[in-house]
Amino acid sequence: MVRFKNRYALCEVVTPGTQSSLLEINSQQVYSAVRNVILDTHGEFGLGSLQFSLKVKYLNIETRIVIIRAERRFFHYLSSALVFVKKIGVHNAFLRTIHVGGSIRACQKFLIRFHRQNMTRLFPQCTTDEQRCQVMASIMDACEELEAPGRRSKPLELGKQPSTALDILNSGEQR
Amino acid sequence: MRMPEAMSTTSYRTISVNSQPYLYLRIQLTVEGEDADKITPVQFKFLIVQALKENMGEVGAATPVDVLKLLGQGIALLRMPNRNAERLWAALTLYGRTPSDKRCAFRVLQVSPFLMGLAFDSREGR
Repeated sequence: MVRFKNRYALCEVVTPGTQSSLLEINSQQVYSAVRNVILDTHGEFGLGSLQFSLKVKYLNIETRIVIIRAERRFFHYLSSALVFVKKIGVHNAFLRTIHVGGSIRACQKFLIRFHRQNMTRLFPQCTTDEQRCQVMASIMDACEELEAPGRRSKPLELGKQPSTALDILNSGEQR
Repeated sequence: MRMPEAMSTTSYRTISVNSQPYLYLRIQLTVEGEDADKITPVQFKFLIVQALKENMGEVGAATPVDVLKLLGQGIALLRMPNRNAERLWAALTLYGRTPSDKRCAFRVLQVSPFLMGLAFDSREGR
C-alpha cells in the first residue's frame, strides 16, 4: 500500500478595513473562493488535479485561521493560487499562508506556537486593565497546557503565577 | 562538429540527444461554418490563448507561444518552449468551442524540435 500524502496550508484570513466586527464566513464559502481562484489561475487542469483532495479542514472565525488540505503532488497549484484570493463570501479578504505542514497535527503544533507569540503582542495594545487581565489569563492558560500537554490542571490561585508566563509577559512589554 | 577527412565525401546524420529549447508545431485550425482561409493571425493567436486559458488558467496562458507563420487553409507554424510544450499541446487538442459558441478543433499535423523538421512531411506522399 502506498500512503496518500497530503499537504496542509495554514492560512490567516486578513480583512483590510473591517477589523472589529466578527467575520461571518463558513468553510463552504472559503472552499468555493479557493476553488474559483484555482480555476482562474490554473484552469480546468489545475482544478481537476486538485479537486479530489481539496478540503477546508479547519476554520476558526474568531482567530481567523484556516487549514486547507491538498494532495502533495499538486500542492504548488494550491499555494500559488491562494495568493490570488480577493473575496471570501461577501467580504473582501485575502489569505496569508503562515505555515505548510504535512499533517493537521503539525499545523496545530505550529498554531499553538504562533498564538503564543502573538499573545505577547496583544498585551501592549490593551487599553483597559480588564483587557490586560484577560490577555494575561489566556497566556497563562496556554502556558500551563504547554508545560503539561493533555493534562488540564485546576485554575491558578490568586497571587501565584507560573514563572514562564511572567517571562513571556515581560518580553512582550519590552517589544 | 568537424568531419574527418576520409568521411568528407559521405553523407552523415547528426543526432541530438540534448533537449532543445523550443518545440515547433504545424497545426491546423478548423472552425465550423467558417472559411479557414479567412482566419487572421490575430484571431488565430486569440484562439490559442483562449485554449490555454481554459485548460491551464492564467498561468498557462502566460507561457510564450509564437505563431511563426500562417499558411493557407488555417495551417500555422507554432513555436513554444519545450518545457511546457506537453501541457500546451494537450490544451490545444482539448479545445473545442470558440467564444462565439462555434465548434472548432486544433489538429496537430507535425511536431519537431527543429524548425527544419517541418519543411517536409513524410506522410503527405502516401
